[in-house]
Amino acid sequence: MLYTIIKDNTYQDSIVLMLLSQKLSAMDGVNKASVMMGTPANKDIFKGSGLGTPELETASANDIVIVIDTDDESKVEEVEEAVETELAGGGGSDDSQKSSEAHNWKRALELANNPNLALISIPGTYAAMEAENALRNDLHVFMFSDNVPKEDEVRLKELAHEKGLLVMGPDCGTGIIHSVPLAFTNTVAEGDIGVVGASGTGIQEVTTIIDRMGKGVTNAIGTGGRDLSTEVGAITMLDSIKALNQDPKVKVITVISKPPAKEVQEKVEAVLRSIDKPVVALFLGNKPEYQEDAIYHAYTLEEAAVASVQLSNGETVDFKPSTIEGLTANFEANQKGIKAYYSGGTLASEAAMMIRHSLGEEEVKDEGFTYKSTSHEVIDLGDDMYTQGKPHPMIDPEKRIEKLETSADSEDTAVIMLDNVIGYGSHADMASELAPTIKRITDKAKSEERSLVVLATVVGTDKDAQGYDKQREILSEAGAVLCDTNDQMVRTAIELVGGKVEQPVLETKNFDKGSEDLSVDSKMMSLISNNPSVINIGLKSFTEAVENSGAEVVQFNWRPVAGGDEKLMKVLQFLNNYEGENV
Amino acid sequence: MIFQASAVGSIALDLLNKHNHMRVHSIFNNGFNIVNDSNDLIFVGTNKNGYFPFGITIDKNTMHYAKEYLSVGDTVKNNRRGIDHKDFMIMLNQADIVKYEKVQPQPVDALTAVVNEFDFDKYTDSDFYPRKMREILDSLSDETKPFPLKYLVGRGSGLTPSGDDMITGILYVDALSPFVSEKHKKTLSNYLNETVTTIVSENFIKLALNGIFSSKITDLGKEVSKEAVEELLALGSSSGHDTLYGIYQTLNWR
Repeated sequence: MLYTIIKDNTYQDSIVLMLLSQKLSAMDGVNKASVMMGTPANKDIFKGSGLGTPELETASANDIVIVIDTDDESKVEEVEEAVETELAGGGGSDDSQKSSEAHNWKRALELANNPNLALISIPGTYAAMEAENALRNDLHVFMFSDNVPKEDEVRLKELAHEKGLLVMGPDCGTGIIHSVPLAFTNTVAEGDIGVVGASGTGIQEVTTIIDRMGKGVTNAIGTGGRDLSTEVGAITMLDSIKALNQDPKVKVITVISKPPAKEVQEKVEAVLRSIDKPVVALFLGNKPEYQEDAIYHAYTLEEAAVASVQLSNGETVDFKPSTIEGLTANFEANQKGIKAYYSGGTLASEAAMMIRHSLGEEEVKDEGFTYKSTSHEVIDLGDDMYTQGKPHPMIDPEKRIEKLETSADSEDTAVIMLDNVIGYGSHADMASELAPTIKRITDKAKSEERSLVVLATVVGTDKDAQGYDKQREILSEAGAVLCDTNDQMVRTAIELVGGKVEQPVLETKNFDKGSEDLSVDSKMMSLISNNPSVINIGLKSFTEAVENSGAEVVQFNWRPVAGGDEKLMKVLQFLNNYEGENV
Repeated sequence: MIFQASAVGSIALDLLNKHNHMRVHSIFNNGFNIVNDSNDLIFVGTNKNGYFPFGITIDKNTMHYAKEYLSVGDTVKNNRRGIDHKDFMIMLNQADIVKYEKVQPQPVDALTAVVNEFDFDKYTDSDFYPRKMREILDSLSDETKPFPLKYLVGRGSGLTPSGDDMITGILYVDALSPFVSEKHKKTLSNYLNETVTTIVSENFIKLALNGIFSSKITDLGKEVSKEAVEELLALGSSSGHDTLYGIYQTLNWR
């Protein structure tokens, strides 16, 4: 019996239609199936292959037509489902949620239920204006947007601080607020470790290691990379530390940042020394010079995570770095190079730091590289330089595949390192995108009897949609050696080329307990102690994570006023916020 | 959101100026189509498949995010500034305007030599077997024969059915070295008005009838090389191959 399904005005690439034809034909109980556009010529083909039906004649050239031959009528429903799933990749969208979307602030505030957080991802030119609108409406701000001028950041953070609000960002890629993941973030277990960080993937690496060690992080507050600059003066970091300190559920506070300006570091440390909870601090890039009672100074991200877990367990910190055991390689004399291609900027910085401190080659300054010397290179492919007009390498595998291929062909390459950062915002299955290339290059090296080691690490948890174990398995089957952390991966790579990363052995220095004012506004405590109610301004995909974790979110489909004329927008913004004296 | 286009084809620009409203017709990974009431089409997408006379070029990142807001049937308003969708704008103020010129006649020997280096075996047992193609080409050059293109128009799967891509290939060689009878061209033009193939194909063939082609095709004749052919082959899932097969059959029929 023949059944006809017609999808009006639907289009797909021919490859999708061919795959769909094959898939339907392979279904149990389906004798024959064909999927084509309903053009007159194709109708002839349907008829010619015994799949002509009266319904077929009603289809137009712009409809997709599916004809199946089956003796079992119940199969039709199954086929329809398969067709829906396959075609869903293209057009069509769910209109059911449109009613909860707003196009202006007024509507967004009406729709939202006691909103307290604005998640902003519109272009940087306009982001500062909308952040200011959010703050004036008493919302905390999470700014994913980058390219926001520094003076705007200072102004916004000062305004926020005055109002008892927090500005996370700009250029804040990651955050967890009361277990609700924001932007590019992993799903991490709740727990008694509080994290504040000025780096996106640094937070991701630390929180996921903590999760995998069986502990949890309820709040991981991103500050944006410039928060610890002299001009901004760590406004967000200091307020966040104080909020975590007031939260009775937080046992340990972990602070992650690049080495800041000296006076800013002193300011942060003065606050850290004033609090009674155990603190772990990592100023990634420098070797810590001493230990102290109030603050555990870590050298790497893994160490910061392990120390946080041990402190939260009430134990003394005892970090033992590891490498992959039993891994040997028979490199040629000229094969000395470690080549690392990261999607996570902080992970790249960590690798650069460890190579710099252990292999002693003279560093060559080159803009496109996080680290470069005669033999080694570390590249952050998420850097602006590589993402002009392209999605981030956590979404788009293209650049990584290209680098894998060229570096594998280079004679001096011994070890290649890769990260795969999973979680919200990232590619649905990056491991499968990279696997064929990893397999090709490792097979090729094998066939040429040349040693080549590909090391990989997955940043994520078993609660992430991509599946931590599954991603590891795919990479491992392709021929990569899987490392548990970036620290372990870099140490392993360095050992493979004959070096060793020395863990700093530190003396304990004594400092007086600080006496900083640790009070914090109740609005901040409320932010980190309850599910946020979010207004999402910009990228719609960010709403998914918020919704999935049970928090409320209103989508604000932002469009520039004044037709995008920046000057005019600024005038309007000024008039809207002008608090002139009444005459 | 505000996005920027990097290039806009002169035909697309013309359409934007003439039609205030268009609607989203279809959405793909690399782009989306908008059409007006008379089915004139603008392709908004990445340059993965080359530049189109009726195209607006945006980068991959823009497409990645624009897709979040698009639904088939959405209305877009057009003006000189760009395309105005209810949830985003694509601005044209920084876009290069790409002008298209008609392909002019030129010798085809060098192109024939390069194209003949490629393998077309997969068509031997298809609906488009070589003898069939030669019959079609024979009839095309002879206005006394019945219109032969009904067989090719709309035949095959996908957004631009294979037969349509082959017609584009045939018409490209015709532009370089004319042989198709005017009568058959006119019939083809009228036949397309009967909704016999997809809107996208219809637009491609109508432009081809006027001697206008996408950049991946015109690049073939600009500097004849194996690389240019390979670039064309990379187009779409089978479009590039199908177009080149049309070119190959025509060049060798002569």
